[in-house]
Amino acid sequence: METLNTQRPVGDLRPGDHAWLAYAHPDEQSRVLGDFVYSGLDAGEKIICVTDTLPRLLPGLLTRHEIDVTPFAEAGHLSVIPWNKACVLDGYCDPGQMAKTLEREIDKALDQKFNRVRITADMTWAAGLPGGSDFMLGCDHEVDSMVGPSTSVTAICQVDRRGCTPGALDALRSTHEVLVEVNPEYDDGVLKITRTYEPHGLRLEGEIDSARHAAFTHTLTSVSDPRSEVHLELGRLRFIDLGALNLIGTPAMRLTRGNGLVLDNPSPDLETVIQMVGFHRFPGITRGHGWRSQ
Amino acid sequence: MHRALLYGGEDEFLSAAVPFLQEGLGESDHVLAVVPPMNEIALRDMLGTDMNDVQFINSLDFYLHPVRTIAAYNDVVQGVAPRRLRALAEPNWQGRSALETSEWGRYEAIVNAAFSKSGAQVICPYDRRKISNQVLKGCMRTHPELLEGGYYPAYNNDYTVPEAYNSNVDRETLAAAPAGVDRFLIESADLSPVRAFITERATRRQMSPANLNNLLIAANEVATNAVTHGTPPIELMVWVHDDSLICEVADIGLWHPEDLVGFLPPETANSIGFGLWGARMLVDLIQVRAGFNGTRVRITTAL
Repeated sequence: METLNTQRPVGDLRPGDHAWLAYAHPDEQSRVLGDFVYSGLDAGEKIICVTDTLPRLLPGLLTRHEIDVTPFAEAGHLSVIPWNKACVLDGYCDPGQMAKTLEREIDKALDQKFNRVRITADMTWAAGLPGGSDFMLGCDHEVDSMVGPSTSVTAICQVDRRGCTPGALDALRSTHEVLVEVNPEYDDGVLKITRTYEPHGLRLEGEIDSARHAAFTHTLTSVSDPRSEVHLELGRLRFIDLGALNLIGTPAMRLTRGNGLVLDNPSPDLETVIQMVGFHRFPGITRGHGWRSQ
Repeated sequence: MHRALLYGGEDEFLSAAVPFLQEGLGESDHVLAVVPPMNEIALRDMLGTDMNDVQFINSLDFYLHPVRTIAAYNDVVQGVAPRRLRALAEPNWQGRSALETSEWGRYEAIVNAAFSKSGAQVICPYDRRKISNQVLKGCMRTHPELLEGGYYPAYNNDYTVPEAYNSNVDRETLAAAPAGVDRFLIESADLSPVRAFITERATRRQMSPANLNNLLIAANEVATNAVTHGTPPIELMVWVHDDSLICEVADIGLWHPEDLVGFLPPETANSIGFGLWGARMLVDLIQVRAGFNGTRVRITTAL
């Protein structure tokens, strides 16, 4: 069944959303999950994590938000359920059991007087096992039936995409309406900058002018990596002033330590401007995908 | 070396142009002739087989936009290096408005500066039968040497250095904005509302999206400059004149771009003047006027 996906930053997830994250990099997982759990705790919501790790070591909390959530686990605000407790029945992994576990936990949360519940499930361990993709699809389906009709539960199911076959990734992706991504690095209503992981870089949406140059330079510096290319996804960039093009040009060589910036999917208007001004005047820029000219 | 050749007939033209081009071929220069079709035919005829070593460009296709033409010549000079450029460059003056003629006069002054650094040898032919007095005077002021009915150039006493010529053009008064134009007070570095203001008026007049985007970039550049360096109040005015949309940014400070910055192509996007030059390249015309009343920058773009 093919469904159309929408991509939403983790901060915009709402009850009833069952979102999917096939992360390309531990930093991506850390940001999405860390922000999800942190905001939930901050808002007084119940957190349920189906994962084989200690509360303290849940992704993104100690590292990104500098918080040890052990006290929250001890106080019952956060439950970590190992997979063998969550879905094992008679020695076998059973998605149906997953549904029962979640139902029980959600009821417990409501008894504890929580209004809202956030669920995370890390399925990476199953990805490489025989029958793993079917199991993941099964679990996912169970989560969906709990969350979809709900007005108080939000869920993120994740997997490390490096452990999955392309076929499995496609199948899992297509069963989710909502794909979750990291929160933007910057969003002022006119310009939105979001980190990207495959390829590594930034996605620019909206308009960049001099009021936003500092924010742009700052985020560019933060993604600069001496070991890899930095990509700028420009498909939804409606306007970019000459000063910002300047920032992408020569200074970019310094920032990315000689690797330069790869521009993907510039608008035809932007291509025209770069061409009129002369591509060679921007030594730090390389053409990526979606250029009409060579 | 930048010379003007004033000719009154085809023979005068050829007797100076042909030896000039042949000398260039002999010295392994890159030889370029940007001339009107009639003159091209005459040259090819006289050059015989040599004509195959000369790059011919129709001047009617080449002289469309002064700042872009300078950039195009600059690209040629860079492209043929380390060979030297030797060019016959005949702008066309027919059918130009007074404003256009004035701006092409400025072009002739500035292109001097562009060529001189590279050691290019250039002769600009002017057809005495066809050009106006204004153009003739401009010719005299923009070319250090004149060839008039002879091969040996005379030094031209009316020659004005490019910076001075350029400043003079910028002293000519701008026509006033019509009464009742749309005005917008620019109060912050966030120029999103300014762009929306211009977009609304441009799309109402059905400006093509490509022209509109170029205009927005240029106008944004001018407005950014005013906000960063100008003195408030800073005001944007937008109106239609003939087939063009005019956007003017005015403030009460005094700013005038130094020398020829903004007309000559910069090395890279990081060079000084890149913003103003980029803006000039993208629209039909940018005029800067600075005086005791403040600074006005007027952008003209075809609808």
